[in-house]
Amino acid sequence: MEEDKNVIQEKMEKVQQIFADCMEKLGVIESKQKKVVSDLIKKTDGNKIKKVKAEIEAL
Amino acid sequence: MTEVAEVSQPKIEKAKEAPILVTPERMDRRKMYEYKKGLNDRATERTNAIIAARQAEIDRIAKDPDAAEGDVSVAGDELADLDGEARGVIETASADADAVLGEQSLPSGSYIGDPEKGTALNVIDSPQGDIKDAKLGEQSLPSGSYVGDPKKGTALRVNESKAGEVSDSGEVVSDNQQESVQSAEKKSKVTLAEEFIAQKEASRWIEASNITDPDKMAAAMDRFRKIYVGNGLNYGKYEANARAEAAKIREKGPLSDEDAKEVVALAEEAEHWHAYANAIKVALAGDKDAEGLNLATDEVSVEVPAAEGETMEEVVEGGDEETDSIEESLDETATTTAEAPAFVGTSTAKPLAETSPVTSPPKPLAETQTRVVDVAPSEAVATPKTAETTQNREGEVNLEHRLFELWQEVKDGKVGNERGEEIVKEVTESLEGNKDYYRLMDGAHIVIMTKNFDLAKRFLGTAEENNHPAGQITSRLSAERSCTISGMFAEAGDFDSAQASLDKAVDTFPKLDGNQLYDRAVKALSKQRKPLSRIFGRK
Repeated sequence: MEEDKNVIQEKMEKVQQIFADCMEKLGVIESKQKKVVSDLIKKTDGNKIKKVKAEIEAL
Repeated sequence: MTEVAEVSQPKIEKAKEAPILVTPERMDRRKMYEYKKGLNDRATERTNAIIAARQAEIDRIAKDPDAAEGDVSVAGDELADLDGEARGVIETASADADAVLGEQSLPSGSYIGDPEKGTALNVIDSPQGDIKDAKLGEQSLPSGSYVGDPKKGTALRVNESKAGEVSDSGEVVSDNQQESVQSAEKKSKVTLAEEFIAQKEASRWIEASNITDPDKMAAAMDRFRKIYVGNGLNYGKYEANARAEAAKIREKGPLSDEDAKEVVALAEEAEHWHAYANAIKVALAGDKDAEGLNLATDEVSVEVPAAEGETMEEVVEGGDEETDSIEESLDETATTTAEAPAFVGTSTAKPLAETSPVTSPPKPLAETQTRVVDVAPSEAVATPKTAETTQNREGEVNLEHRLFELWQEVKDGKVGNERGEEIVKEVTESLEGNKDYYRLMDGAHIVIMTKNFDLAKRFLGTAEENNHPAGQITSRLSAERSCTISGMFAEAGDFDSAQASLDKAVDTFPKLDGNQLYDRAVKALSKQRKPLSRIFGRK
């Protein structure tokens, strides 16, 4: 019985580690997702700058 | 720690019967599963939250007049890809966790535990050898089965088992549930028998009533299911159900309370299931002229419908062997159903009703057959209900009622006198030119009892010629009818005809051993003659 409990505890710790690794990977993916949005903002801002520059040049 | 092994069939059978204990490990496995599920849910929630937040940002940027549409689209695609990647990571983690916690893929017939010690969990209903013993070592068990010891109140009952799914509800069975849990498997066998009988009786009712409308067929099936299924084969409830049925009919109308009462009386006093069927049929047909039926009977008895030679007691008390017999019968019934127009409206076999007006009342068989041959289905469906067909229907119902009355008179002994001759004359005139199998059989039945054998043979011959070509009369039912006819001939003294009918029954459907009608016919013959090798040899 005690042995079984130890086995179960061991398994649960492994499962915990698996999901800890999972969360870490998700963190990396989350960073990539943030970068996608950040890049889009940069491109949009770039378009704004280009637009303003064009307006200035047109003056 | 349990072990997994493949074992021989005898051991598997033994394992099925072995009491199964709920071990602490098993309970802890549930905790493990819940722990893993919590982690899994947390990861999924996090991913959902992130993708929702990022998508909202992209949507907001997309409304900016300076945002290029192409850039927004690319960002959306990249975000979706990353979302898929995140979900893949979670799925992988979940699978890895299952592997750690003991998820196993087991073929049918294998088991976990040791059947010799009575601790095995048998693997049942494993499709293609790929049981998805999905979570934490749970087994796939059929609904109604259980693990644990109900006597100790520690059983876990399986509520809704689907192939390959974990369905052990974890419900702890209370004391008052223990017995029912323990007998769950037996109950399922009883249900099989009930289903079988309901289906068989519904088939007979449909056949006897010439019902071809799929909706009416389905309704009939439903009615018989309500009567039989769930009653534990308790035919003491048959009468109660007859009352309930009549009450429903009364609610629907058009019968008056008095008429409904008479219908109930007829059902209660029925000496044969046909009488009960007729009572309901009269009610369904909305025939208010119920007084035309002979309802005045002193005897009050409800005969248990014949179940292919099995009494209900035999079915209930029967063990596995009996159940096997029932299951075989079920198989036969399935075959029979496949031969006949599907009365539950399945689409594989095109029911005759598709070729007749859906809204019209049931037609005599002969008329329906003509439609099948002569009228294209599309045209037939478009055929409006006419006054003529309604009249035909009424005439058909009236004829059946009248024959029923005449049969009762004959049964009551009014034969061999002036009234008997009148009855024969009326039957003959009524059936002149009639090609309805059932009415002709009714007529044959009556005139046999008046000992007009030649006339009976003529009716039988015409009936045979007009036996339903689409197979509504199955070989077994046909054989049973031949047995009935044989018995009637024997009781009336025409033993050659009785023998011929019995031979025909055996030729039509050889598996008649144990059939009540067959046995009755044999008994009737054997009383009058020396044992016949044909009968007792049971070819």
